[in-house]
Amino acid sequence: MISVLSDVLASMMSLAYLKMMLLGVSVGLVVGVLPGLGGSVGMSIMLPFIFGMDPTLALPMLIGMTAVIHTADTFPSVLLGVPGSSGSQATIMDGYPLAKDGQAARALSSAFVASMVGGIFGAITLFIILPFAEPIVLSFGSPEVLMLAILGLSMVGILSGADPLMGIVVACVGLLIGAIGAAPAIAHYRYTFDLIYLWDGVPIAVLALGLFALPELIDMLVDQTSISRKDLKLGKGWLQGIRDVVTHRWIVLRSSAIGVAVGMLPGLGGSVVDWISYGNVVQTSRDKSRFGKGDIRGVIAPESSNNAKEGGALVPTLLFGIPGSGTNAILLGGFILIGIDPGPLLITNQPDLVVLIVWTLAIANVVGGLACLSLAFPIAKLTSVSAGRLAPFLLVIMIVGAYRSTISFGDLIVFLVIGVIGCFMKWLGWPRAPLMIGYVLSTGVERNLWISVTRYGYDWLFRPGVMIIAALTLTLVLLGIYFRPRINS
Amino acid sequence: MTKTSIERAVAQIFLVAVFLIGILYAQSFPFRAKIYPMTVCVAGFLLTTAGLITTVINARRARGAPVPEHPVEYDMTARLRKSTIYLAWIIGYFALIYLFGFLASTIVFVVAFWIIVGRMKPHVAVICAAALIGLLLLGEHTIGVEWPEGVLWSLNL
Repeated sequence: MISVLSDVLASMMSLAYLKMMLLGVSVGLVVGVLPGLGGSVGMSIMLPFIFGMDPTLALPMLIGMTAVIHTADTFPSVLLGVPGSSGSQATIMDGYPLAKDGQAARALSSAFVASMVGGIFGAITLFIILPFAEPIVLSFGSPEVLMLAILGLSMVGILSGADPLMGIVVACVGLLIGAIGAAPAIAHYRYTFDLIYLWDGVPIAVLALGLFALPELIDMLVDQTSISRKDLKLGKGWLQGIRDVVTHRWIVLRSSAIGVAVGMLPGLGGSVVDWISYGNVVQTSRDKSRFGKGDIRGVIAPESSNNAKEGGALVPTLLFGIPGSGTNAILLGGFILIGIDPGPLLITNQPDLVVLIVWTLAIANVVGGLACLSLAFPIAKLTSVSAGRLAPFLLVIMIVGAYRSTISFGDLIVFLVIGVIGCFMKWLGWPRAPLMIGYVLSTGVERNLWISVTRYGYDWLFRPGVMIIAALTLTLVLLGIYFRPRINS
Repeated sequence: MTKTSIERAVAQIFLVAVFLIGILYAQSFPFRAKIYPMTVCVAGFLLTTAGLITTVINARRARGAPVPEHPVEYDMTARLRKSTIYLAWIIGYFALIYLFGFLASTIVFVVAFWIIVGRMKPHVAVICAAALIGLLLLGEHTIGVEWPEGVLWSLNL
């Protein structure tokens, strides 16, 4: 694996690779800066454009974008007090007071450097974990992999919304949408209602755009999120911010470790990782008096963890083919589109691609951090573009993207229908990530269910591994249903 | 029942119907095609029904005392009312695309939207629209992006 590291690095030194990575990083920075958008929206916009691309070019674009969103989303959090994405909410607690105190530059530079270090930490951890986990994963048969998918889906359903039961139901809807079209085990079309468009199923790009991008666009217009006619003053303290990160290096490392660990758990991820590390730094600090009023440690901790989380989140995605969040579900769909089959055999069969992902994650974090540091003012200006001016541009890109799926007007109709459904789900407080994850996992779940039933009959249900994972799933579901209302209240 | 509970219950009834239709429809599939959708639909049907019962029980409890229901991120009716105008814009844009093709409709839509909703000056909106069309044409020539054509008329540049 170590020799692959240098081989892949050498192969990455091409103009084509750098161009695609920079494109991904640029899109990620823009998506991160614009409040209301996030990883899922950015990924769904990018997905249609990677059809037919070489994996070594498509991967840097996708990973480059994912890696830097949580670097750029610091701008609105610090400058406007509005989270750029769900992973930067905790940064507001101390970042915004610092900006009001004329220390925006200090908060931003410390956040960018902490994000950079966190991202690299995540990439290194991913590289270390994957080979160790490989033999364990390879020992699983189809029934165990099926149960792991169910466990992952249940965890996402339980943890990603306010209502665990409906989270799991939404995952079932995703699994059902995945059943539309030709059945894999026999020549038969399911749920197509005599519409030729549905013979190949609902295209993943159309589903992702409709489910995530359109509802965010409409809500952005309704809220007029972006916003600010406030003067953007970055102030001074760029070097001080960098020195702060060096001074609080143990906080950076500890928060990065928290980020990786939380990222590995399906369903947690973006929306809580920053709060967990923020809570941790507050709890473990002797002097708590400045937290909430402009303590730089309150910026460094969440920013380190939300970038490190991306490395952790790739562990279940690459090892088991089980994505932990909506963004990773779309990323997984992207992998499949470009011919990569994530799962137990990925590291054995395509170690170079795994290493390419690790390198891209690390390099994109460095490039993203440096870009934010050096282009802070023009990037910050993006936060002042109003929703009414931005929306038509975004809508046109979405339509172009959706239409690329099958080059038929049906793409646009399905995009609109799913978009409306996505809006209702958002307004009802139902999570959309489990639906996307259910859809992406549907093919694997059906394949493993079919193999389990045909090979073992119903005895597969009594295999020790299956029973252990089933018991774990049931326990987690029951605990989730029992504790969630208390957590909510 | 409160408005929120009714909205929730209606959405859950809709989902129960979806899963029920899924089960009934799957009866006509051969066994190899049926096993997966049947498993998913039955699980979804049972879980949604349980969710619906929970909603009704919670709503009844809430009638007597202020027991918190499932938290809802938005007031759905108010949100729907505010969103209708933008949904109408989007549907109108799609109708234009269907009739007149993508490029012509995009010019009309973006200029109108920027002037009316974005409060942009007309000449700025026209310049921005020209820049956007330029970008789209660049995409067409570099990465082979294709456009929907209209049934009545299409502007192919």
